[in-house]
Amino acid sequence: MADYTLEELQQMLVEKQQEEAIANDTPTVFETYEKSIVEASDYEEIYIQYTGSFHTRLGYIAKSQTEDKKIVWQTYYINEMRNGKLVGRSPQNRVPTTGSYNSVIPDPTLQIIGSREVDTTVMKG
Amino acid sequence: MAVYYVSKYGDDNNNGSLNLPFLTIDYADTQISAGDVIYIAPGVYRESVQFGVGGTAGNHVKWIGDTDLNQFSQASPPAASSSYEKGVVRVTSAGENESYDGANSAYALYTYTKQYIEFHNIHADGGGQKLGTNGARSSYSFRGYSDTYDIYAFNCLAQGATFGFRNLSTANCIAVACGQYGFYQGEKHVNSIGIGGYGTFYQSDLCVDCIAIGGGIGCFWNVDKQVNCAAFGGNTGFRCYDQNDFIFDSIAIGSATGFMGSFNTTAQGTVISGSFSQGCYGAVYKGNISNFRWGAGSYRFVSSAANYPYGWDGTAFGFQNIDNGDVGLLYSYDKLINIAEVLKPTLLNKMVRGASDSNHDSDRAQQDSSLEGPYTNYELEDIANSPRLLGERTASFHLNDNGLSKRDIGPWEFSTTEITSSVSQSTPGFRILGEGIQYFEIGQSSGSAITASVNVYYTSSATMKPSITFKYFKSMPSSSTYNGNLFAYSTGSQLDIQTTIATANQNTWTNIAVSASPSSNDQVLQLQLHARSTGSATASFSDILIQ
Repeated sequence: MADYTLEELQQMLVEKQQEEAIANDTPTVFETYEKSIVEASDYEEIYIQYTGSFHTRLGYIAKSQTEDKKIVWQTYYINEMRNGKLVGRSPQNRVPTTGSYNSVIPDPTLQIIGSREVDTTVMKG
Repeated sequence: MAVYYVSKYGDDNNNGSLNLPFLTIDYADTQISAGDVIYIAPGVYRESVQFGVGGTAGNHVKWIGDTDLNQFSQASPPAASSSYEKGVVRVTSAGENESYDGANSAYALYTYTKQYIEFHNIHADGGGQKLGTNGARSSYSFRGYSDTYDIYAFNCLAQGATFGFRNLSTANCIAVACGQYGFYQGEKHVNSIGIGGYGTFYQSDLCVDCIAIGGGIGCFWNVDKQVNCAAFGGNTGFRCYDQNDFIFDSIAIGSATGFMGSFNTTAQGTVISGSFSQGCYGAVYKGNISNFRWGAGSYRFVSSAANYPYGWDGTAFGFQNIDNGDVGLLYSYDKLINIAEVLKPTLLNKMVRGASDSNHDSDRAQQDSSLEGPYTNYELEDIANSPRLLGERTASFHLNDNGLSKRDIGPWEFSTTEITSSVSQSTPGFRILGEGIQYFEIGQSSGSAITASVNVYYTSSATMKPSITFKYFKSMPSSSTYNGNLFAYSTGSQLDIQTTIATANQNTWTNIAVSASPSSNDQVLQLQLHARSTGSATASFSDILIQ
């Protein structure tokens, strides 16, 4: 093993830590894709709302013509029930579909993945 | 501005009034406008909310957890035979089984591209996340899109997510057990606490009065400005990114490297001042160091690019015989090992620097000018009224003579000095342990010659002997020259140092003296007593006995 000074070893350690930090902090391909749309000068954001009860937000579309990219987000809800009556919808998840600006991607629709009784439990700090 | 209410006893068919609240946060968000305030009753809201409505610079949207029922106590009973209960306002993307089943990144509260939104008194967690080919990559308790969107959290708790607070400014917030980052970026963090995670405070612009415990890669990692913060454990206590950054009045305890400055430059750059490293393997890696103290570490770890023009003086204080119960900082500095006390970070400055160190205050104020605004201007009333920021207590180091006596040695004496017995001609009055350095601040009248002398006794080798030093200005600068910042001015060539090193052999009492003839008030700054090498720097220290 080569002889290193304490200072050289410390410098090597620092550089290794930096590599590790960068590797941990690298955005995913999707995050990079989404960011290029959101930060584009012609960014468009369109919310699609349900015309029935609660005007639930079904999802939204993020797109940019200059980037020639589009993301259609579909939201999934759980129906909140009280004594058999629908009293609200809680969003649980969103799924993106990507494409070019003019690609034909269906608009989000009302997606209910389950129902549950409203829980009034209160946690104590 | 309108006020709306959300309650687990509510209904999204309601109008959102106090007696007819909404049920879900998500639905309330479809009904509000900029400047509106929404009170949320205690309860568990299992929602993954992506906000569609933001505020403006003068009209923030405020989501406020009414944990103490300041609002809902005035509401009609929510249902037959029931009443509102005080408690946690929890928002989570987890289902009833407390795990997240979605295929994508989970978030409890995500402001996306919306601006000027505040969260108050809310506990948010991302829930667990399933692993697998389509498993969620990350979960978020609170998330903004980037720092340009001005999202704030006050008195909030993030727990059990990959990211606790991402791209928010926070005050009085806690991130606990957030796997990757407790506080990721964000413009300002004030009085917030992070426990665990890979980076506890990561790439933030400014941290004031914050505490980080156990950050894997770093407690404060690539944070630009760090003031009055404390780091416990982790790979790195504090790390700045470039030469414009600074660390003031902060403490690192038990980190692999306590302070790391100016990573991104070969110059020493980063100012590290008024800070303190205890029990770190390496105290400092790079940095323009002033008024820095370290103890009980293995190395100072100062690279060749480091600069320590003032206050370091080439010596450091170590602590010996702690295992044997003798005097050591961990004994005398008992407030530091009491976490409950440490969780009052406002006190740290006073503990390190003393309450009346006006020079330091002006020194720091000069650095503040490099921020967008003074860090004391927190912009929002909630931060300025933080109970901890309003806390006042003076704490300085105390000597602990094995429980027999105590003496307040003031904020500037960081040596492990102990009182040994009553002073007489034949017995020592004090002992500086090992590498200890004893400081005395000096004030003198205009034109008065000043001499200090002391009888000392040492047992170390012939090349490591007691010394006595005056630090003083070659000529007293005018106030217009140093512009109110005497300490900063004194770090340059204006400072003169006069030292006398003992010449007598070891194991005998000897007198050493030093003199100065100042022509102006306060020209002499400091008297020091410590051991100094007269040859090789590898010589061993010994205790110095002082009559």
